[in-house]
Amino acid sequence: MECDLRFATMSAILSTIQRAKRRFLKRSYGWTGIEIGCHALRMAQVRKLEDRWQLATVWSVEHATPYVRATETESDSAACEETFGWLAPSMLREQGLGTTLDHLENLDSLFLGKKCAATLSDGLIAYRELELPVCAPTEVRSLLQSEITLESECDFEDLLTDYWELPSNRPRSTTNSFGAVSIDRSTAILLANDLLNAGFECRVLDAMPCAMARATSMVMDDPNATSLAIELGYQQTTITLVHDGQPILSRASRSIGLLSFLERVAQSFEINIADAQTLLFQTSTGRMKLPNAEDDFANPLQQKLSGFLQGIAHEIDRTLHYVQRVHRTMVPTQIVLMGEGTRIPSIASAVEEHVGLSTSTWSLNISESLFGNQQIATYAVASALSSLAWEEV
Amino acid sequence: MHVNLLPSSFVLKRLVQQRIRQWACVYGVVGVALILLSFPLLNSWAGARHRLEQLLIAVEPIRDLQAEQIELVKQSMAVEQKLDQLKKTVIIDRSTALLGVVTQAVQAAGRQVQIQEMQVMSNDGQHRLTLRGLAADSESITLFMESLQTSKVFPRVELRSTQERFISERTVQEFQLECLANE
Repeated sequence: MECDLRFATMSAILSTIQRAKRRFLKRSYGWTGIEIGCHALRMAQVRKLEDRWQLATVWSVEHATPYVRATETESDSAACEETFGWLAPSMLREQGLGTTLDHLENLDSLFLGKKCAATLSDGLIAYRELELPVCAPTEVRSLLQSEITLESECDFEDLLTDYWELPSNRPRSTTNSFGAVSIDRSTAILLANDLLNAGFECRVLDAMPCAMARATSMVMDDPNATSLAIELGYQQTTITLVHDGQPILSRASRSIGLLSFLERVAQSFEINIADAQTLLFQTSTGRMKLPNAEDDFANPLQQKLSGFLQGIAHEIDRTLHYVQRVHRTMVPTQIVLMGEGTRIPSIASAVEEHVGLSTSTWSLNISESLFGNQQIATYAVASALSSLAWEEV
Repeated sequence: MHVNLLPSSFVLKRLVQQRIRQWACVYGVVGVALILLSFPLLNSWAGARHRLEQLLIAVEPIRDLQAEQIELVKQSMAVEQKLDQLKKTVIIDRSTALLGVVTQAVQAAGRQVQIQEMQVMSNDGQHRLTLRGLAADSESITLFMESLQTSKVFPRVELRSTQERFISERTVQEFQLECLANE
C-alpha cells in the first residue's frame, strides 16, 4: 500500500516536472540525427527558432572501411537482402558502426543531449510495398511480418517490421497498401548498442522514406504540397513521393549510385576515387547542362556526368509516369534533391532543365557557429531525424 | 511521421533506465533538500540536547536530596513505629507505676481504704486516673487523697463523689476520685 502510494507520488512529481518542462522550457534543440550510410556517418542537430528551422551542428565521419555490397554470387540469400537490405549483420559486426565510432572520442560532446534518432541509408534497410486484405489495425503488423517472413524464409522472431499505410488509389479496393521496412533484430540491437557506447541513446530507428518526407516538409513553403524527394546516395538513388509530409511511394535505383559513377570517372581518367570525387565536386566546373547526343565537343567530365544525369532523369520520368497513372491527385509540382550527389555543382538546375519541374537542393538556415561550405543538403536526412524530437515518440 | 525499427524490449529497457535515472534524480534532490533543511534542525536539536544535559547536571543535587528525603521519611516512619511501640510499653509501665503510687497512698491512709476499680486514660500526654473504692470513713479518704498529692505524681486530686454504704454490718464510705498525673 505504502509502496503504491510512493509510486503514485513519484509519478505525479515526474509528470509535473515534465509538464513544467514542456510549458516553460520549450525545446529548441532537436535530437542528434544520425544517417548511417555505406560510406560515411552523417550527423546533424537542428534547432527551432519560433517556426523556423536552423541547422545547429553537423558532423560527418567516414567509415574506416566502406561497407561494400557483396556480389550476387557472394550474397547468402537474395531474399534476405530484399528483406533486410544488403547490410549483412556479419559486416556490421566486423567493420560496423562500433569500429567507426571507436576512433572518435567525445563525439557526443559536439551535440546537445544524448538522445538520437538514426536510420540506415544506401539501401541498408530494405523498403517494400505490400498489399493486405482489409483487416483490423491490430492484425496488420503480424500479417505484414508473416508475409515478409514467408517471402524471405527468415525466422519470424528475428524480424523487426514497421509500416505505414499508403493511400489507396482504387476507391472500392478490398485491399490496403502498406509501406513496410524490416530489419534483422540482432542488427538493430547491435546498432543501438554501438551508438550507446559512443554516448548516444537511440530512441528511433527510422526508415529512409519517412526521413526524406520529413526533410522535404522542413524546407517546403507549403508543407502539404506534393513533391518528389530524391536522395542521391553512394550506393543508390532513392526517389520518394511526398504528399502532406507522408511518403506515398518510394523507389530505389541501385544502378544509379554515386560510387559507381565515381568509379567510372576514376577509371576513365586513370585516377583514384578520392581524386575523382575532388574533380567532380569542385565548384569551378561551372553550370552544367545535359549535353545533346551530337555534342561532340563537350567536356569529357560533362560527358561522363551526362550519363549519370540521364540515368537520374530517366528514373524521375518513370516515377512521374507511374504517379500520373496511379496517383493522379498527387502529381508532384517540385523536386527536392538531397544526399551526397548534391555536391555536384548545378545538379539542381540540370535536373530542372531536363524534367521540367521546379527543382531545388535541400537547404536550411545555418547557425552562426557553422562555418565554411558545409554542403547542407548532405545532412538533409540527418536533420530530418533530428527533428523527430518534436514528434511524440 | 516516422517508423521505429528498434526492438520494443530495447526501447522498454531504455525507458526503464531513464525512469530509474529520473527517480534517482528526484530522490537525490529530495535527499539534498532534506539534508539542507535538517541542518538548522540538527543544530537546534544539538543545542537542546546540550541544554538538557546541563539541566540534568543542575538537577542532580535535587535528585540526591529527593532520594535522601525519601530515605529520611522511611527512617522517620520506622522511628514513629518504634515510638508507638515504646509509648504502648510506657503506658503499661506507667499504669504499673501508678498502681504502685496508689498502693503506697493506701498504706499511708492506714489501710482503711480499699480500691475496687482503677481506670487509667491517656490523652495528649496526660494520664487521667479514676479510682473507685471504699473507705472506713471520711478521714481515711482525706488521708488517702493527701498521700496521693504528696507523691507528686498527681498534682491534682479531686473527689468526685462520696456515698455512705452499709456493708457486712458496717458503715463505709464509697468514693470516686479523679487524679491527673504528670507526663
